[in-house]
Amino acid sequence: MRRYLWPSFWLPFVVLVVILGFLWQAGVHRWPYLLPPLGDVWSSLHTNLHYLLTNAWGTLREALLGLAIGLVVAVALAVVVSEVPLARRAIMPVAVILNVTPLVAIAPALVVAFGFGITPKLVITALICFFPILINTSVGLRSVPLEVLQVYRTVHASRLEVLWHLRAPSSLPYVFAALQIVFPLSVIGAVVAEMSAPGITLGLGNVIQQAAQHNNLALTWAAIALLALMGAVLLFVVTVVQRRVLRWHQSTASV
Amino acid sequence: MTELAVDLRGVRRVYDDGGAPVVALDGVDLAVPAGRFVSIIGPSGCGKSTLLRLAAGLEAPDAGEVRVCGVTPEDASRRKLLGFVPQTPALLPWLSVRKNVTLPQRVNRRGRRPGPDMEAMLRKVGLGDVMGALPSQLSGGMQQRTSIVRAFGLHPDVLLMDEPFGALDEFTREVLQEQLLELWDELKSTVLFVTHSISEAVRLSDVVVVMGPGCVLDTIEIDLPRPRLQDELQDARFRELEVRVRDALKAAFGSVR
Repeated sequence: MRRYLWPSFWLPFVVLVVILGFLWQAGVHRWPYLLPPLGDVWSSLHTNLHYLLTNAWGTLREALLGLAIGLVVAVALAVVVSEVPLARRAIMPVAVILNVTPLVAIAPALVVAFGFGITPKLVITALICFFPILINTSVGLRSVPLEVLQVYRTVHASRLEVLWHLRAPSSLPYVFAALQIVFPLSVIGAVVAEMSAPGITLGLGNVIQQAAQHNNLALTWAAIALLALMGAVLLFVVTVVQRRVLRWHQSTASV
Repeated sequence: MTELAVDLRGVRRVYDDGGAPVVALDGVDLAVPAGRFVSIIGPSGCGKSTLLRLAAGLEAPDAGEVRVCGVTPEDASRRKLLGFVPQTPALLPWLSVRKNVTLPQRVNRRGRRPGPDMEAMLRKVGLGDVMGALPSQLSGGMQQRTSIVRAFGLHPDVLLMDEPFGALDEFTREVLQEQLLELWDELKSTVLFVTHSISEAVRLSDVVVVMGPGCVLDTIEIDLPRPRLQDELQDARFRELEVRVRDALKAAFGSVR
């Protein structure tokens, strides 16, 4: 029987969720402006399902497109900084400065530059995902043991061959470690972008802001629950792909 | 005159990384004729591995000249005349044993030379059943065997081995010595073999080069007949040669102090 079918695998989680549910219900009367009854959240989810799913798709699209842009740019730059020391000294400080700059602060400037459409959201999401991928990939590309490099240097393997046959596969565990961070992060990035660079696009961030303004706590929490679910599903997908791709790596070995 | 496979003349190598410079090799001459099995033995830090890295073209000498098969080590590696076996197996964990041993053949295609049948070679050293396995599924001895087959698979003129059996237990080490000799007998590469073990050096080699700090102290011819089987290692002549190497090494350790 598969491991995840064993009660010992899923029961602790289910028990904790039930306990949290009871605690929530117990807190409903005490903090009515924080915790709506779970039944209300459920019925709001049910009633507004089409509206919520349409907006969830908007957020998911921004998250995945932004992530894809961030991934492509970060991996390309990681190859450059790991191959060219001069480029590393130029690019890495700029990347660090970009990483420590609060992206919410530059959101209004992006709206001015790119308008109210999807573009500023994609830029913010891509920027949020960019840094962890750049750092991890560039470390991964340089993680090939010296003795392996020596073996392939004595057969005069070209830089491209070393990159393709040695460095790229060596970097995969590091890339996947970054993806496990940035896949859920991309959803956060998209929501932050919707809230800080509001516009005409669909998105759960917009839903939450509007619902909160109308004191519709049930709808707010229904949207938050969908976002949490979306992040969890994305993380699950990455983990499954990682297990398939990195069969050889100890990070996927079961203990 | 016999052609020299490895020829070092007046080689000096100094490591200077900001602190006091460390002289790893100073005025080293070493001439290895083609087809010979030469072991290099000496105390830790005497420059054995440096010498091997210079021959492999992984480092350049500060003075003197290094030639491999009559050309520079750089040219030798471009023409795939070299095989290198480092201290650790240095296998790629994502590739099967079969792909690990064939990848060096597939890179630098310009220098490509007809290689031996790799699967037959893997079977010969007892890896026939694990050709599709990943390195992490193999024992240390099997991994090191894979590493040796990878180097022999290039059919190199010169094989450079840097303490390849250093991390293995005594029994595995003896088995691998036997298999190394069989492969060498078949392919007749010139071997430069760094080791710490006196009996290993005597058993494997035609010549044992004893190094002191940064220099060659003695060169001892091993005139034992081949093949050298395990049970012949107790012979008086074998013991005598071991004692000779040990005495030369004592002098080397004396000069370290």
